[in-house]
Amino acid sequence: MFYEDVRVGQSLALGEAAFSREAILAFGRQFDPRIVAQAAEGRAPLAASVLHVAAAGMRQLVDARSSLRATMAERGETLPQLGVSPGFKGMRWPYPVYEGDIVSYSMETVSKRETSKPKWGLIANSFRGVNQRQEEVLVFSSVVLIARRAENM
Amino acid sequence: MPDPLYFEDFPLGAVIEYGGVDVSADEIVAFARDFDPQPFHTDEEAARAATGGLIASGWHTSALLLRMNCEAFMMRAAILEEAGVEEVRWERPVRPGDRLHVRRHTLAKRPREDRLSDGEVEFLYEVVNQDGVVAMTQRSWLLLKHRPQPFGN
Repeated sequence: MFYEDVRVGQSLALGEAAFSREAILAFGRQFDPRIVAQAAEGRAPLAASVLHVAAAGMRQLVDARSSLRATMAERGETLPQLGVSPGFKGMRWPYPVYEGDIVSYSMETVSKRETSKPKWGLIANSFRGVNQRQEEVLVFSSVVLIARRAENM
Repeated sequence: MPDPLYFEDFPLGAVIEYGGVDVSADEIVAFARDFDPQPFHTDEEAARAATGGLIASGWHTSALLLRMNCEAFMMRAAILEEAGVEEVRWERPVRPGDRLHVRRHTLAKRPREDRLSDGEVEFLYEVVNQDGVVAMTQRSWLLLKHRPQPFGN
């Protein structure tokens, strides 16, 4: 998808991630020793690290974008160059994610603007995860550089 | 078990450094395969053209910051709540062979008027590589308990 194709207010369903006890512990062993400590205390159910919930959402975003690009490639369209993300703002997690939960991710375009570089535009997105009870488990805002169509250059 | 760290243990304006993790190509690729499978994170060949070699997913750097924070103080801190992340910026790429540590600034402290037992502390974390380059920054709040006062004062 190019800058020109993005519509403000457009929401894209990205897919779901399941959080098993094993996956929560595996992330904890590598990055969040508090989870390992909770498991050692016999705490159940285990809550996932917020960063695990966010990273699993990134995976859904990358997969959704890959299938979009595959469709474009099949149609013989030019594929936009991918921009590296500069970061995010305002991350909140009103509800924890527990083992057995399934999180559905979506991304809504909040605003878009051109940049001083003719090749790139800026898109502001609101990224959201909800669990199977429709409770919000993750929300943050991100700004990404996205390639503009060559004919505008 | 060492004493817990309370609200009072984080003086305003304090800057301290801690941590030290080596980042390998294998770890970069393994994390990206799970959570961020874009070519510049998973494929040395493709990364050479796009980003001058493999770079770590920003989420991977964030996860390494979490681990260093847990090991340095978060396991011991009297945290009531992680009150949100205001901003994360992935400023410079993290590459195989980099060694990262953390420089933590205590940016702001606010006691809560409705509750005398705890207060919020805002930290700025800089993830710094072996050349002193800041690869990532994060601003986030922790809700911490006050140090219990002995009776009879």
